[in-house]
Amino acid sequence: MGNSANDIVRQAWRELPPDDRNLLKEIRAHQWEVCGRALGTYSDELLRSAGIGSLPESEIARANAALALWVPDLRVVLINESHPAFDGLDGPTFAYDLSRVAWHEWGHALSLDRAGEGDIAAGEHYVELLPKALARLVRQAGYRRREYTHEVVAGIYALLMTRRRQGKTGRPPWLHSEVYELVRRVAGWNQ
Amino acid sequence: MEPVKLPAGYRLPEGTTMADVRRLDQELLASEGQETKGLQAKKSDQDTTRKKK
Repeated sequence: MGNSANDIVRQAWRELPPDDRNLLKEIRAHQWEVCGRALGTYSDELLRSAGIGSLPESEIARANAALALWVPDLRVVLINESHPAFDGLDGPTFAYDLSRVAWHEWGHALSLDRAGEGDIAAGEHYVELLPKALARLVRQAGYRRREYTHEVVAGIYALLMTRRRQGKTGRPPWLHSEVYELVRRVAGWNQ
Repeated sequence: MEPVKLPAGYRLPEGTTMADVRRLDQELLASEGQETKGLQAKKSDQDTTRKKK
């Protein structure tokens, strides 16, 4: 599945609006690696071998449960194609899920670099403005309050990309204007 | 040495699958279609009303 997973992520990258790709290149967030490893353990190995340091054990455990990870100190998106969430999917479904996950992580990269302290402090407020089912995904996945804004930006960014693939642009009617403006400001979304 | 910046991961709540995520995507995108249809129907009603006048 390795090559085809890489091809899917490459295609997801190409589908990003050119301005977004440029922004990601500007902040050095244009590299990724598709691997078949638990990402907490793997990113900790990479961080240690780069001489950057080690992640706390609790953080390694959290990251091991992730389908994908943005590692700010290494400027790389890691995707675990062997994650159980991808098990048993047919080709088109795997491609949909993997693209969505890649877009989510590029949203993370933009948010971690560009969200201000005020944006981060307002995380709970932004989650409250999401459609209920999306808010539940953020609240129940065990994110910290200070991670809420990044999850909102990444989650909505991935959804806007999914929607764009269907030829839809602008603010979706189900998305609160405050959240849309946050994504426009932080992720540079201008579609 | 600066502390390592914590990575940002994409995790699903326990018991949630990517199929649930896909379903949610579809519901949100489909709701746009319904909303558009609703607006079109409303516009059509208004047009009809105008014509009757």
